[in-house]
Amino acid sequence: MPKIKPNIFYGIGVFLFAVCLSAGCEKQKPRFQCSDSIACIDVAPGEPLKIGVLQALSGNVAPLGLEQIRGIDLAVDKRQGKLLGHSILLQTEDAGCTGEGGANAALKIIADPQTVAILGTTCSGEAAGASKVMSDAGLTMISGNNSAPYLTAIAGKRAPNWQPGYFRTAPNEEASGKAAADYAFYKLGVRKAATLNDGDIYSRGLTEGFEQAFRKFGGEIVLSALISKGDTEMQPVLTAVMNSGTQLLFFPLFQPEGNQVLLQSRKTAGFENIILMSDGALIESSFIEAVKDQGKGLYFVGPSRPGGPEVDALAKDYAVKFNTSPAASYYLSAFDAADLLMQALEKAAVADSDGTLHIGRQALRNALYATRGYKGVSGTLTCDEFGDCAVPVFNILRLDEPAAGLEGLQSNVMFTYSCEK
Amino acid sequence: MNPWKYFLRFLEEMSITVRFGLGIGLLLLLFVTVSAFSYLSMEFVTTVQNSIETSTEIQRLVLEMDRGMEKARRLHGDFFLHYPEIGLEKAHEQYAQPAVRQIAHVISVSNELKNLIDASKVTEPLRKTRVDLNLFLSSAKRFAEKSIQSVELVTELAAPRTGLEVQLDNQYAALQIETSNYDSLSRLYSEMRSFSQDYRISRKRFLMQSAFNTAFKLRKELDNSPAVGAVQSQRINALIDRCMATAHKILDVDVAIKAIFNDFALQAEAVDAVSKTLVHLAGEEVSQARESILHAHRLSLLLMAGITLAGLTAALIIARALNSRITQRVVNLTGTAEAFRKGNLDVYASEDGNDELSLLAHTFNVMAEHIRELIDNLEMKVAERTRELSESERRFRQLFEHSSSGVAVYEAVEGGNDFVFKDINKAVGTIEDLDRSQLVGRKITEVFPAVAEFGLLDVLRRVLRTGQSACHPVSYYSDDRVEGWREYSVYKLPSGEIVAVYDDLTAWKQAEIERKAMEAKLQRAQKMESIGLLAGGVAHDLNNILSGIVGYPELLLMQIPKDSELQKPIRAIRESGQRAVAVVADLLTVARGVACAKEPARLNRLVKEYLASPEHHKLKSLHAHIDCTARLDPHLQNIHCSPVHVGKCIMNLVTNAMEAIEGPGRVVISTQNRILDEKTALKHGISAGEYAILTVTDNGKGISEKDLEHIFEPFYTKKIMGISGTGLGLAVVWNSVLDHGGTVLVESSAKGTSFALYFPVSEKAVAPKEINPGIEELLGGGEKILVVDDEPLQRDIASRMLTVLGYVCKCVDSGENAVAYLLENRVDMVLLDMLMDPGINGRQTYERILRIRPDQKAVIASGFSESEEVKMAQRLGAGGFIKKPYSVQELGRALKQGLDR
Repeated sequence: MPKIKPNIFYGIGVFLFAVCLSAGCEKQKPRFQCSDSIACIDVAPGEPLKIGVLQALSGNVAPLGLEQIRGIDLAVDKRQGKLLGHSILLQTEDAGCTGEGGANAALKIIADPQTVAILGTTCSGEAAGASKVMSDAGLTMISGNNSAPYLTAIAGKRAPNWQPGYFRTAPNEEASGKAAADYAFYKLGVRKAATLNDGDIYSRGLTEGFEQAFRKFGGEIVLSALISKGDTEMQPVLTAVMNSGTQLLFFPLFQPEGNQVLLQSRKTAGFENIILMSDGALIESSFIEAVKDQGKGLYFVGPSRPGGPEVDALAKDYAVKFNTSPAASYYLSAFDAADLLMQALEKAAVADSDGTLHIGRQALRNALYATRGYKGVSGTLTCDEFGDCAVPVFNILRLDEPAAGLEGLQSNVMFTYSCEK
Repeated sequence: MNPWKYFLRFLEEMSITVRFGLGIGLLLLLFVTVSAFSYLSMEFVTTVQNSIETSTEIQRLVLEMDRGMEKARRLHGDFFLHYPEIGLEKAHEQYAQPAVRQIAHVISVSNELKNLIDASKVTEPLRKTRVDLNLFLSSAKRFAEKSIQSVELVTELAAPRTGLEVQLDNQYAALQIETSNYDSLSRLYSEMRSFSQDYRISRKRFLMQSAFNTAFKLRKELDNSPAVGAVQSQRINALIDRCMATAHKILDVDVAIKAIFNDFALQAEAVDAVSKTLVHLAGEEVSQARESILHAHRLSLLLMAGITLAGLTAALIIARALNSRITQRVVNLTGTAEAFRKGNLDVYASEDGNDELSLLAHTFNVMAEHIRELIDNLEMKVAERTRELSESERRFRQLFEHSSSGVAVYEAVEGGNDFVFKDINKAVGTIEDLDRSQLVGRKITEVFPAVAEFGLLDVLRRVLRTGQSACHPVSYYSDDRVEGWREYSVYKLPSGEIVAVYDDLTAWKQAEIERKAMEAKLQRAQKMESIGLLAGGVAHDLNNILSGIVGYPELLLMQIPKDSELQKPIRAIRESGQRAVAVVADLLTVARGVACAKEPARLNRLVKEYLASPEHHKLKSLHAHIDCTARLDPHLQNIHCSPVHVGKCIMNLVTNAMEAIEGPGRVVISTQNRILDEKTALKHGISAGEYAILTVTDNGKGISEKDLEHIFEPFYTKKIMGISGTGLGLAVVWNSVLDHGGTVLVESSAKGTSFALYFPVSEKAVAPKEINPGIEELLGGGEKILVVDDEPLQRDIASRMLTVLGYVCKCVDSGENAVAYLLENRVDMVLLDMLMDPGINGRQTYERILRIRPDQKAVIASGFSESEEVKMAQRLGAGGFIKKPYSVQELGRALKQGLDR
């Protein structure tokens, strides 16, 4: 071959020469060495970025969890489902709005070592269980709905349930109780107040905040009652409220316990003169629909509703994507939580020469802790050392026209309380 | 072109090397595939077997873990179930602790399982269960933690003596005591305790709340019961506070326990699912592994069968392809080549395809074509060469056979001392006058006994020895059988045979002799020519001069009386003149040959005439002591000669012989007949035939060998010129004899010299000797004679002699005048001089005379011998010739003969 005739040895020679040349010429990038104080997650090319989602997806709180999920979805959509060239895979678990639910759901999430972070939870009680599990595993969790002070800081100090790597874009409702007490004492002239919580840290945190502030203002807490989650028989506790001679019952509960308290109170003689005040957990259309006119006159303390063109645009996206109006405004903070997390991931991730993405778990936390002046749809976010990123601004709302729905409720702002004030 | 056709065309055009490479590559690939497949199958089976073992182990561990978890939960449940009955301690011992141990074991197993899954090559779904295992492990740990917490809570709640329930019971008991004395209070206490008890049974919080509300009522009743003392009231309130506080604690513990149970439920939910998944996956893994083995076996069988089939097919295809495309074609090509080798030149190899075999076939065909062409050419060339060779052979054979030269091939025998004839050509036979059979196979020395003496034998030996060709120059061979002149060229053949090419130069030799004679003759002729030119001029003048000296004395002697004193001196003058005429005649003889006419004569008579001549007598007188005898052959044949010249020859030879003898001696004049054969004639340079030989022998001192070569040259003499001779004697002899067609042989030694003159004999009879008539018979009758001569003296003598002879004479001095005279006058005879200067010569004059007088008679007179001009004039009609100077008688005879014609 003839012919050279080209023969196979020549071809092999050229090939080997080319290989040697390329090997010699190629600038060997050093392999990524993980120096993260916790660990690194390696996301190989083509593999998805796994983000755990812990939300309350069952029971009467499911609408709140669903709002969170939708907010997260919108944030993911904002990036076309991709982050750092990898598709985003959300592993969603139902935390059941309980501590153990959160903990067990968190266990499911952290069981996959590839999970980079957790978006959740809906209920602060879930977070109490989940955040420890999550934090122990070195993960980062950011919630768009948790507001219990126990999870971050109380009175400027680390709260008992604080866990490293826990963040939230929902405001710390330590001030929420204060706002309610402020309004009750100063605006409503209430001097005797009763509180009712379900033992959940959210609920308890709010009542305790209320009680502290109310007492501080000179008021008297005549009753600090407790119910258990799942209780349906509220008469005894309502009787106790009645017996307490209170002018106001502050009951920051979730559905359905909050519903039961309200509805059963309406049927209880003597309650006509007792002001009922609930919390943000019930600022939700399903609650309004559930209680209807029975809810008239009910006060709510909850985070102020964000506004502005971004909010409107997102609401429009929401409506387009889910073919319904938002049941609450908490999807906004969920959107911010997800977006903030993804932004932090972008900062913390290191792309290796082969396309592998390396994400230091501590680096991710640090990126979030370093968040300053993030322009979220729910407001400008700056994360502090305890994981609180939102500026707490609370409104006191009163349900005057249940038929106006959530919008009507959120528009009926009686009082606004801001920590910046 | 569609891909399949393109592929087929590619296959078709594939080279043998590629084809072989492809075939072997395919086979190698099949072999490698089979090997690889076998190896992979084994590996796969081993892997699958390991997988089965692993899966089985995983299954076992999963089941153990699941059962352990289940057992732990059951034990934990039993703890809660039985501790109220059997007591907390016992329940703790029987259920709580085993549950914790069990869960510890589960954790251990789950760790083991996790490690096993990590380490083993399980399927991806099972590998993904690592997440589940993490969850399981976490859940197990949480279970353990929560289990302990729950036991602690239960202990806090139900511990004997210190438990909250005991405390509450004690507090209720104390409260009962305090309120027992007051019905309303006791009733409310009972109600409160009843709610508490209800709560402890149902664990419904609102019941406890109801108890608290009752407690509220109790306090109110207490406040409204004045019967109760302040202290007691205080005690009761304190007890109520303690009861409520304990109840709150119980509520909290219950909430915690409930949360833990809820936790357990969630864990169970998660873990059960995980267990179920793991058990399922492990089972799946096992069954999948088994299935894989079965599948692998089936696949192996199928693939092996497939590969075997494919291999066989490929092998068959390759074999067929190799057979059809290579082997068969090689066989065909070999067959073609074999057929070609056997001489079938018309075969052609098939050239289908474009591979090496096609190329080979093409090359073969081209070669075959070339070979065919070469063979054709070769045959033609062979035929041509054969023809040429045959032609050449024939030519060379003809050359050999028809060569005028003799060619003899010898083979050395007797160690190279002798030679045997191997072959001869015809010329040899001709030359040697022998048949081929008389020569071939015979020794040269046998056939030619004189060969050694001849010198050829030495030449043959030398050539045999040295290999150098050699010549044997022209030599004379002679033996009893054959003789002749031969010239040899001898050389040695590469075969060792000796070839002698020779010529019979006998004829050439004769020719050579003749040529030499001719050359000598020519030399002499040239010499004579020059002498003749000299002598001719001189002789002409001398003859004219001598005409006076010879003519006038004769006229005077006729006029003076016989006794006159003048007779003697005038006679002396006349004789001197005649001797001078003889000398001139000799001179002319030597110079121009014998100009006189020849006639049959008897040589003996001429000898006798000489011996009787005054000249001889005078000679004898001069050499008295020399005996001169004649031995004449009476049967001597006549010769055709010029008697004058022959007489001169005899006289000259005898004179020389006499003069050669110093003192007494003898001179013999002999004659004889002799027939010369060819050989002898050739040897002597004359024609074969009969000769009359005149020999003059003396016993003088002989002639030196050096002188012998020159004795016949004119003017060559050992005598003193002018005293003893003219140097023309032997030259006259030589010229005269040769002029007569004979030769002169001289033999000389110290004992004497012998001159033999060979004259060809003549058959003609000798005419009777004319008797010179007297002057009276020669007289004319008054005829008119015109003398034409440019010499006045000659005209005068002629005029006087004609007058004496009785003729009327008219003289003119030139040819032109003669012609002019004859235009107007008639004469009977013209005496015409041949050479006249200036003006036209005698012949030209006679030609012009004949134009006006065609019958005019004439006699030519010339001082020269009969020249060509004379002869031409005689052919024109001039009847006679007279040599000047002439006598009255000669003139009278010539005129008489001319007029009588």
